[in-house]
Amino acid sequence: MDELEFRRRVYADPDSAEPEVLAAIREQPARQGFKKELQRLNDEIKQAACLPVPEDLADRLILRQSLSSHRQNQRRWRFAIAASLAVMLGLSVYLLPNEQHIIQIDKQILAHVHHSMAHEFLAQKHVSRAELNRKLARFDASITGDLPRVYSANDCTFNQIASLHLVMEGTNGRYSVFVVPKQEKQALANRFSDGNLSGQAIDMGGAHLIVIGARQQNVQAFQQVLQSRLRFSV
Amino acid sequence: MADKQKRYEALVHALHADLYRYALWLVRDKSVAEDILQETFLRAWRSLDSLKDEKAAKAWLITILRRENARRFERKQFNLVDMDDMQLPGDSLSMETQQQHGELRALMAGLATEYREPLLLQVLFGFSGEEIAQQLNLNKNTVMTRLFRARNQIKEQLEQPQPHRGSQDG
Repeated sequence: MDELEFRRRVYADPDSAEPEVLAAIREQPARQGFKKELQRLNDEIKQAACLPVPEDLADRLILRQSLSSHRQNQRRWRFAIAASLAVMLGLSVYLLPNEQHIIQIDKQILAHVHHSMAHEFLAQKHVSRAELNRKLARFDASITGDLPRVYSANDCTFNQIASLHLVMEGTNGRYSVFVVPKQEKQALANRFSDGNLSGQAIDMGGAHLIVIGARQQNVQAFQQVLQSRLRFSV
Repeated sequence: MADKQKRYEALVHALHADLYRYALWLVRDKSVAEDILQETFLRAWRSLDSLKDEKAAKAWLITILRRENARRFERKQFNLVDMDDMQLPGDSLSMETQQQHGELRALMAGLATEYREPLLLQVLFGFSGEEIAQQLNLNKNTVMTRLFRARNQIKEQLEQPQPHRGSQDG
């Protein structure tokens, strides 16, 4: 190794333990003095490099990070809550009745009857023929013969569709009679029941005519009577 | 999360001092150096999961620090005058010549950035030529040349008559 190269190497790294450098020193032992001189300078450079550091700097670095991560966590929580709400809202749009869904209204009708047991079934009113006709007119229906006594005639809704609920007298108990306009995506079985009630539905014009009675009653017979006494236009 | 916190604090305690010094040598201004350090460690916290090996922490943090320093210029839209050409404001890096190492520090601060950086990486962090080359994205020969020039310049200036600061003859 020539002198220039040796000096360059030692200047670049006074502490060098490179084999070539050590070999060069063995070649010319005087070079060791030069290396030592540079090492002394380098030690001073190392000391000079150690500028004083503010005592609380580490604490401040940790504090700032923990404040920032706290704020970040708060933001994350708020975002997570907002995101959950958004998902819930989004899902609820799906779960609401829409074109994809066919709503079965049997259960709703039965529930309505159960519910009405407390009131309409106990009514002692006598709904006049005129009033009945008026209410039926909304469903394009009218009375054509004598009807059994009507104790109550109330508007109700099934599947958000305006319907009519009549409580009528039958031979062995009262019946619930429903007039429910037909809807696309709305389904109704011809016969349905729960533990206490049974129901029968037939299509009359643009509506379902539904009769609900207690299990021991003859729902079918009653419905046939009604069919003959009511007229529904299409 | 507690592990991440512990890891972070360990890194702060182990490396904040030398990183601060490095930043200070780089920018020669105490408050700027501190700002850079705050930003550096904040970014380190956020991407701590990407540090797979604690042994790589030093190089990783220095990379972040140098990037933050570069960003500082972008943010403030400095004229990219080499800071060596600027007169050092009085309070920037207090190098009272009366202090021990004062003169040496002044000489080191006076080095061009391209010489000062490799020198500090070597003496502060004990980086090898290869490690400095990797850190600064230079080839090793370039790094060794710059290290040579840095020490050579310091040595020559020390051997000259005392340099004047703030006053010139003639």
